[in-house]
This record gives sequence, C-alpha cells and structure tokens, in this order.
Amino acid sequence: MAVTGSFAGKLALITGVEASGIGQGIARELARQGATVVAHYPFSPDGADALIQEVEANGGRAGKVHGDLTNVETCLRVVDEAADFLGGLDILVNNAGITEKVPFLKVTSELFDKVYNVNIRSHYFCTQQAVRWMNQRGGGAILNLASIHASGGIPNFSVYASTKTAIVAFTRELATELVPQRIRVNAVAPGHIEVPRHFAAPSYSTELGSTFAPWGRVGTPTDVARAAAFLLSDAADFITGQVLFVDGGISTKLAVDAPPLERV
Amino acid sequence: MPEQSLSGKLALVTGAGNGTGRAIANELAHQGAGVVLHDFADAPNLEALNATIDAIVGNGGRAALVLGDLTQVADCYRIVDEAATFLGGLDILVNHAEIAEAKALPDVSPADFEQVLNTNMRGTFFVAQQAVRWMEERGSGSIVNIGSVVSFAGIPNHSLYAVTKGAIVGFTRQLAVELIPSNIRVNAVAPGYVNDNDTDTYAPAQNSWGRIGKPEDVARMVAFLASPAAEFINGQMHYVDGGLTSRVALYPPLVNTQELTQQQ
Repeated sequence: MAVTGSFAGKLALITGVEASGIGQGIARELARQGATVVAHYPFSPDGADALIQEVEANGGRAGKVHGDLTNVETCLRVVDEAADFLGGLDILVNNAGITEKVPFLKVTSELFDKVYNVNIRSHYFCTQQAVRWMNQRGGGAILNLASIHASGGIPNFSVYASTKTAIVAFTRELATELVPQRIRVNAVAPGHIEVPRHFAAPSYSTELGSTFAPWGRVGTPTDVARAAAFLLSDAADFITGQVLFVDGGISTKLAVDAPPLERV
Repeated sequence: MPEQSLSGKLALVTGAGNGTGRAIANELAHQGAGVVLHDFADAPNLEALNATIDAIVGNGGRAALVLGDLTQVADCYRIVDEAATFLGGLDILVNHAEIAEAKALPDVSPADFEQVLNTNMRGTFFVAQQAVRWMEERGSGSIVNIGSVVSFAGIPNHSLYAVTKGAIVGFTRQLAVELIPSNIRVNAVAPGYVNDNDTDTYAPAQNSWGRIGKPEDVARMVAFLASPAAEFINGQMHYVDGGLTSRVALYPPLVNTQELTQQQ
C-alpha cells in the first residue's frame, strides 16, 4: 500500500491498546490514514498483535511496547522504546485509563492511587518524555482522553470524575505552555462508547445503551477515533487546548428528566 | 447585634495558616460558627494562627488549632476527628490547603508530582470522606473546596497545579450529585490573583478589575456558600477573580510569565 492520507510520514504512540475499545480504534484509524504507529499494551499483547497484523497486511509498519504505566520509569521507557522503533515521535495519544465505580465513603487510598496513577500520572509523565522527543522533530500533537464525567457528576465515580477533569485542565494548561515548542494539545471526551466490558453487567444490552445518548445509539470506538484523528491532523493546526465531546449529545443535555436521588 | 447566619455551625478550615485561610476562619467565626484551623505538620504560620485563634476566642467565639500532614490519609482522618471532637460535630468543611508552585513540564519530578497531588487532591478527598461521616450524623452539611482560575484556562508552567485544580472541579460536581441523599452540598471557590501570603505577590495590572484580590474577597464567598442562604446552590465553581476569567485573552502579550509571578 502506498502511504498516503493525512498522516503519511507521521510517527505515533497510542497507550492502553487492548483487543477492542477506543485505543485500538484510534490506532487503526491513524494507521489507516498513513501513520506509523506503536501500540502500548498493559496486559495481553493480543490487541497490539492484531493491529500489527492488519497494518502489515496493508503494507504498513506498526510496533508494540509492553509496560505497567502506574510506574513512572516504565512511562519513560515505553515512550523511549516507541520513539526508537519509530525513529522519532510526532503524536502521542494518552488513552490508558481505568474506571472504578465505588461510593465515596468506600473509596480507599489504594483505590485512589490506582486510578490516579493510570489516569493522570501516566498521562503526565508519558507526555513529559514524549515532549522531549517531539522537540527534536520541531513540533507535535498530543491527544488526551477525557470523558463525559468531566462535564457533570454521576454518583459513585468520585475518583474517576476527578481524574478526567484533571485531564481537561492539564490539556488547557499544556496547550499554552507548549506553544513555543509548536506542540498542540487537545482532548476527546467520549460518552457512552460500547465496549465488551459493558456486557459484564447482567442488566446491560445495546438496546439499553442506545437510550443513554439523545442521538439514540451507542457510540463506537470508530466514532472517537475519527474525532481523535482530526484533532491530531494538520487540518486542526489552529486548534489547541480544546475538549471535543464525542457523546451523541449527552453533555449538552440538561438532566431535567433524570430520576431523583433518594434522600436518606 | 447583627444576624449571624452561621450561628451554631461547626466548621473545619484546612490550610488555614496563610492570609486567605485565616480570613476564611475569621469570617466563619464572625458569622457565628465554631472553627478549627488546620495547618501543615511543620506549622509554618504558627504565630499568626495562634493570634487568629486568640482574637476569635477574645470576641466570644470558639476556635482551636490542629496540625497534620495531608499527604497521609491516616492524618487526614485524625485531623477531621480531632476537629469534630473539639467542636462536638461538623457542619462545614473548607478544603483550603494546597501547594501552589510554578514549574515547567520538564522540571516536574515524580516526587514533586506526589507531593502536590497528594496534598491538593488526595488530602482534599480523604478529609472530605471523613467529614462526610460526621456530617451524616448531623443530618446535613456543606463542603467548600478551593479551585483556581487555572482550571478554567491555562497559565504556562502550572501543569501540575492545573492537574490538581482540574481534579477539584470534577470532584466538586461529582460529590455534589453523590451526596444529595445525605443532604450535603458541595461547592467550590476559584480565586484569581489574591495577595494571600501576607505579601504583595501580584501587581494590580494582572487583573481586569484594576486591583488584586484580598483574602476577605474569598472568605466572604466561602462563608456565603457554607451558609443556609446558599441552600439551593450545589456543585458549582464560583470564581472570585475580578472578572479575570470573563475576559478573553485577545491582546498582545503585555507581561511575560516571569513577570506574572514577580513581586511588585
């Protein structure tokens, strides 16, 4: 395959790529548009391997790097290994993240640290190292994964919601700080994107999930991937520090018809 | 005697050592609340704190001091328990303690990250968690977190501080929704440039309103949000910034970031 598309010649690292889900979707989309990609994976290499196989079948090149991003040294190593494979770095997608649904009074410091270390600290230090590589290339683009939890409260997500809103402020701050380096920093905030883990809840069905968004369907990793690719591409050269909600209208709807929360 | 809107209320103010913290404690006491003032374990402002407490007691109020390290969850719990034991319960929590430090992205070490995140966010989280246990015994409560204009828009070299203050925004909205059944309101105050450390850190030109914020500007908003007068206000971020965040930054750069943090 001739390498064409808006990402021809671009070198990208996507963290937290699993067999399905948003990270896999973004990696495939960037590769489809011509980027050389490295998929970081935290657990099983199956997702990264499937991606590499598909990219190579289309005549492209892709790599994988393993690591537990709760460790700062691992963050730096993951970025370095990716950049070594790619021969530099233009794009970082901070996709790695975990969700925990726990009532406020039941949250332990261990759980708090676990979620913060993946959702915030790994973004922070992967970015720090990626910027060093991007400076050598004279610029770059960073995409962080926020969430609709950054736009409003949903009970029992006190740790997750605060990490995702931290991402929003981090995105805006870094966008201003990295202007001299010509590095753009944006975020996508997915709404209800249907992934296999949703079906772990016995009451979940696609039919139910389709009622969550005003738009009347569940989101797919491809929905997020297309928005991500746009923000990372040169077409978005004047866009920095922004959060793009990919949520079928959830965050723009006032929760006036929500069932009341019962008082004790 | 004027009406005291916080008469009989019991309040804990963390990070009460600096100018704004003391002003918050003073205002709550002035409006009739019993207050416990917290400061960091090394008590950097012990003299000023004791003078504040003496003045409140001298005016017929109740006040006491508790020291503790907010990076330690056990200490967070102890601080709240000691405060509530002294007061005989807890109605109001003001999460004011923070570390505000300017540092460029490449210079932030993992140790810096831990220290600032654990003080500004994890400390806030677990102080609030323990406070909620006490408030539920009283049947209601009001929590006021301290945010910052940096969660609204970026200021170069504040990436770590922005992370923590963005997290405060999500935490505030999230908790406001989650604690409705417990009859506990959660709001936040976001100060702009305030000369709060008993020094004139900032120059008047840095604020649209033509003057720099005073600790009392912040304290009055905190007291209002804590009071029954704000009973229908929940989950909101209230800027006390002389219009700083309302003004779009569409002008040639007048000051560089160095000058922003320089003394007058």
